[in-house]
Amino acid sequence: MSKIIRCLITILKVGLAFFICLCILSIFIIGYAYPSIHTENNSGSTDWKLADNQLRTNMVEGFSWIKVDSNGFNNEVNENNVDNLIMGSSHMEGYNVNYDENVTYLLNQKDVGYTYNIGISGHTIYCCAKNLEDALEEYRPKRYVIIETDTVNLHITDMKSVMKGTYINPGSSIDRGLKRKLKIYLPAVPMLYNQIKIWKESNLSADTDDGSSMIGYKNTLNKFIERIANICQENNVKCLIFYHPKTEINGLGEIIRYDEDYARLFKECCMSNGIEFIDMTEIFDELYSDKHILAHGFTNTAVGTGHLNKYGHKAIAEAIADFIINDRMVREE
Amino acid sequence: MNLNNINFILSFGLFYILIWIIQIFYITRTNAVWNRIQLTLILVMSYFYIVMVDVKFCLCLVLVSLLTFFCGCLIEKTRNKWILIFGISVLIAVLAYFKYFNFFISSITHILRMNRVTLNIMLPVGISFYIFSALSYIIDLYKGKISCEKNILNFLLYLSFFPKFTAGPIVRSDYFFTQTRNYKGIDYKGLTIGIQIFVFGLFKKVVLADHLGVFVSDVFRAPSAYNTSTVILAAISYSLQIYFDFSGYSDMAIGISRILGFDLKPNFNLPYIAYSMPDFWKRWHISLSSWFQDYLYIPLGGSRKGEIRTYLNLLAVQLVSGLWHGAGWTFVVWGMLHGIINCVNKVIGKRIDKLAKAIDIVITFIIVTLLWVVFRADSFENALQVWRGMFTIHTGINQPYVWSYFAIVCLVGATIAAVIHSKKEGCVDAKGNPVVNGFYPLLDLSKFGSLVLFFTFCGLTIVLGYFGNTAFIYGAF
Repeated sequence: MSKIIRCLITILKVGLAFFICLCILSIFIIGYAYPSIHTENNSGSTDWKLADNQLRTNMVEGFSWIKVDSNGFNNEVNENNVDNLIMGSSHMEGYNVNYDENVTYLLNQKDVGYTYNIGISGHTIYCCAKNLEDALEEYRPKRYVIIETDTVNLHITDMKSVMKGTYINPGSSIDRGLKRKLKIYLPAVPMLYNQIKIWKESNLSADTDDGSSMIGYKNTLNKFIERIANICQENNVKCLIFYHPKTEINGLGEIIRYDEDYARLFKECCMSNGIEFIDMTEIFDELYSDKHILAHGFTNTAVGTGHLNKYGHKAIAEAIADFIINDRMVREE
Repeated sequence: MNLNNINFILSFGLFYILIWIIQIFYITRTNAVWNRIQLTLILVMSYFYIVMVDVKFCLCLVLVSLLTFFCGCLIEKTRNKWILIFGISVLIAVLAYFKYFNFFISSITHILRMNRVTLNIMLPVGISFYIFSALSYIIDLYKGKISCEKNILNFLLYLSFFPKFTAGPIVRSDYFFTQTRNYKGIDYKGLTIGIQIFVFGLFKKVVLADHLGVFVSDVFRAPSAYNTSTVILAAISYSLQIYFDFSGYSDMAIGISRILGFDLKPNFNLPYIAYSMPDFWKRWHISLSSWFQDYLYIPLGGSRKGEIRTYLNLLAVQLVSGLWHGAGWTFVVWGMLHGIINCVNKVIGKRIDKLAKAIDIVITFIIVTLLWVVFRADSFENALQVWRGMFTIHTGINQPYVWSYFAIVCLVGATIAAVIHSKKEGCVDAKGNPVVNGFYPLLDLSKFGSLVLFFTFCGLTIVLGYFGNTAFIYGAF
C-alpha cells in the first residue's frame, strides 16, 4: 500500500513540476514569441483576423513587438475614412518589424491619404482575390486597393477555384475551444506542439514541385486578373498589385531570379485589365547592388529568406507612395 | 540514424519503457540472467536502428564484426603476426573501398587527364568509427594488452552499440568489455543522469549548432557577397558550430549510454581554451586523438627517434587524421596544415610558453578557426575566398547573426563555469598542475525544484531549437 502511495506522490510531483514548467515557459513565450490568436472574421474581408487589441511579440524571425488594432489588424490608427486599403499575407501583417517600420505606417507618413491594412497571414493573392468584394464593401476605400503578392507564378487550379467561388484557404487556422484557451492562458503548450510538429516533419523528405503546365496559363491568369479588375471597377476604386520577389544569391554574390518571364506576363495581364502593377524586382536589385541590403530576412534567420524586413517595407512604401503621388499629379495636369 | 531525430527519441523511449516493464516481470529471476537479456535487447535495438538506415550497412557491419571476432580468437591462440597483418589489411581495405575508392580513382584520372571514372558506392554509416574500434581490438590483442572476448554477442554489441555507432566516441575494447562483463542493467540513477546529459547535448545540437549552420551555409556559399566582419563572424560561427554539433552528439551518446547502464568517457574537454595545438588535440575528439597517438604516432616512433623523425611522425599522423575526416583534398590539406603547425609549435614551443596564457588561447583559437575554413569549404577556391573575405576590408551584406553571439555567450559562460568548478574541485593533471575540465551541471531530480528546472530546460531546448533537416557533421565521416 505504501508503495502505491509513494508511486502516486511521485507521479503527482512530476505532474506538478511539469505544470509549473509550462507556466514558466509561457511567461518566457509572452516576451519571446507570443502566438497570434486567429478569430473568425464575419465580414468576409479576410478568412480570419487577429484577436482585437492583443500584443504580439516576435523574436523568432526579426525582433518586434506590435499591438493589434480594434479590428484585429496591424494598424497604428484606426480611422473610418479609408483612402487606400492594403490586402495581403503575413508580409503585410508585418509582425516581423516594429509598428513604425511597416508599409502601412510608412505610407501614412506620406501624402497619399489614409491607408488601412488588412494583411493577415496565409492570405495569398488567391485569398485576397476571393475576399476582395467583401473587403471593398466593408472598408470602401476611396482611391486604391493595394494587393501584395510574393509570387507571380500562380497555380491554374487555384485561380480557377477562385473564379468559381470554390477556393478554400489551405492554411485555415481559426483558433477555437481548447486551442484558443491554451493560446491565451498557457501559450507554451501550442508553441511546444508546433515545434515538435516541425521537428517531426523535418524527418520527412520535402515534397517536389508539381510544375504546373504553361498551356492555358496566360488565359487563366488573364481571367483571374480580369475578375479582380471588374470587382474594383464596380466599387469605383483603382487596383494596384505589387510583387516583391525573394532574393537568392549565387556563389559569385550575384542575384538569381527565376520568375522574370512570369513577372512580365503578369504585368501584361494587369495592364490589359487596367490594373497598376509594381514590380519590386529592380528596386530590390538596386538596393542590393548599391547598399548590399536585402529586402527579406533578419539577423536571426537565413540571409534573404522569409518575410520582408524593415528595408523591404521601406522600399515598398516608397515605391507605392511615388506611384500614387505621380498618378495624382498626372491626373491633375 | 541521428540521435536528435524525434523518431529515434520516441522509439528509444518505448524501448526503454519496455525494458522497465520486463524488469518488473522478471523481478524473481536472477540478476545475471536478466542483465544478459538486457544486453541482448540492446544489441537487437542497435541492429534495428542500423537496418532502418539501410540493410546493406548492417551486412557490412556483421561481416566486419565476424572477421574481427574470429581474427581475435586466432591471434590469441596462435600469436601469429600474419593473422594480425591479415586482419588489419582487410579492415583497412574495407574502409579504403567504401570511403576512399572514388576519391583516389578520380584523383588519379584527374592527374592523368583521363575520363573520370567513379563507382556508385554508398558510404556505410559509422564505418570510420567501427573499423577503428575493430583495429584497436586486434592490435591490443596481439600486444597482449587485452584478452579475447569469448562472447560473440558482447563483441557484436561492441561494434554496433547504437549510441556511439554513428559518430563515436571510439571506445576501446577493454573499457567496453569490462562494462559488459560487469553489467548491472538499467536503473533509476542512470536514467536521471543520462537524460540530463542527453538534453544538454540536444541543446548544443538543435539550439546552437543547427542555428549556426544556417548562417555558415549562407556565407560559405557566397563569401564574396558579404562584408569583412560578416565573413569573420561566419568563420568563428563555424568553429562554434562544429564544436557544438560534435560535442552535442557525444553528449547525447554518453547520455543514452548512461541511461542504458554504460559509461562512456567524455570526448571533448573545452577545446577552445587550448593554449597550443597539441593541447587542442588533447581536448578535441579525445577518443580519436588518443587512438592516433596509440596506434600510429607511437608505433611510428613518436618522439623517440630524433627531431626530424618526430616532425615527420607528427605530419603523418595529422595527414592521416585529415584523410580520416573525409575523402577530399581539402581534408588532406587541413590535416597537413595541422601537422605543420604542430611541428612549428614544437620548434617555437618555448617562446610561446613565455606569452601570457590568455594570449596563447586566443592565438590557438584563431589558428584553429582559420584551419576550420579549409575543413568546411567545398573546394580550395572556396576556402581562399573565405580567407580573402576575412583579411581584406570590403563591403557586402552585413549580417550580425544573433545566434552567433548567443553561442559565443553560451561558450564563454560554460567556460567560466568550468573554471570555477575546476578550482572548487581542485582538478589537477597527471603532473599535479591545476587544469580546467569541463563538467555536466547535473541536478538531483528527486528534488522538486530541480525537476522544474530540468523540465524548463527541456522546454527551452524545444522552443529555441532549429528543426530543419540537419545531420550531424561528424556523422558523415
